[in-house]
Amino acid sequence: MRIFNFSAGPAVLPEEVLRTAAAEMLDWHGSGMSVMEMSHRGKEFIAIAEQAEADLRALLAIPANYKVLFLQGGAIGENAIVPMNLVHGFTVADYVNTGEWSKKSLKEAKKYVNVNVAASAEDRAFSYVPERATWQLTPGAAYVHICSNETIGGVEYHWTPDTGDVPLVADMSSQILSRPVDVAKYGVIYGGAQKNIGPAGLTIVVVRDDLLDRALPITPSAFHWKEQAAADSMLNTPPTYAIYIAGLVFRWLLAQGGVAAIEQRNIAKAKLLYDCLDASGFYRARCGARTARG
Amino acid sequence: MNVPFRLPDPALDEAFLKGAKERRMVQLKGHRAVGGMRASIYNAMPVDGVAALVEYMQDFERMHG
Ligand SMILES: Cc1ncc(COP(=O)(O)O)c(C=O)c1O
Repeated sequence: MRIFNFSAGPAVLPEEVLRTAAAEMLDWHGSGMSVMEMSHRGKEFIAIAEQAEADLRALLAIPANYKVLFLQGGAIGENAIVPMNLVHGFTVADYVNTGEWSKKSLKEAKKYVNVNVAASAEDRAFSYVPERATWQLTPGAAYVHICSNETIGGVEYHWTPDTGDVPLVADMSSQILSRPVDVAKYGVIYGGAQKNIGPAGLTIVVVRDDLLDRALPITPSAFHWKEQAAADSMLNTPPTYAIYIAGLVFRWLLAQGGVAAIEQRNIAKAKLLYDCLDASGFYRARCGARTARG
Repeated sequence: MNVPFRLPDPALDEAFLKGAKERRMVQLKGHRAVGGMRASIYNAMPVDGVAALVEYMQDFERMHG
């Protein structure tokens, strides 16, 4: 019997997806193989990966000038991979600090580039998102980095910051696919899959194609976005089974009515819980700022 | 997607988690960096799961509040 699992990640997956995976475990669509046993270069797996990418593109309405990469390394890996891929020819990257995950990102980035903390919510225990008007951005910065949902502290952006010509980079690990997002306002969106998408091991990167010429020469090939884009994310062996499960989750989301429909359900869930917290003199919600509650 | 909250006294945390588990709700312990509780309510968490949590929280409050 299943249980209600409130884990922050690896996290609950749709039961239908797990049932499909179980039914297909030994013999995927008459191939006589488990997806786990397939070559990533065989036609079966290539079809699985292509369908997963097409479904993700449909769910998030990803414009054609963005590449979708299915990589390894996790979001913590991306904390280094992002600057490596974006800072060649630049001296500064701006970071907005809204909590534990932003802190980790900017600390890692310091190994590769000068980091300017453009705004920080540390003054009020990371319980809010600093308003855009307060951000001290660097003209000519390589990019502006945000964590769109702080998985530990619980604050979430309910708006997309305007950073002008400087590309906006977002760690969306715990927010991606929870609601519609205007991808065109971002230079890069990345996230580990193990929260809202599928099993651990898969990292998703959505990157605007004009940003693919800014990688430091030291960037490892496995994490070099341009090289991976040219190789359809198969420069190294991708996390095949995780991609397959993510693909099943994308199908499930489409069947639910897509991210606009799932957003309504997510709003209803958050309201149930926050109404309970607000009405209680016993419990205390960590995020005081209603506008920044995820 | 992640709702961190605290009980009035951290000494109650263990009893809260134990009672939740008895009602088949797990992994509610907050991250060690901030303590307290955290309910992650990702896409795959059904509304029923959150409703069950809220009902449990209200019962727990009546018993310990
Ligand atoms: C917002 C955010 N960023 C980064 C990470 C780290 O991801 P990973 O462990 O996949 O490297 C997590 C969660 O673990 C997260 O919630």
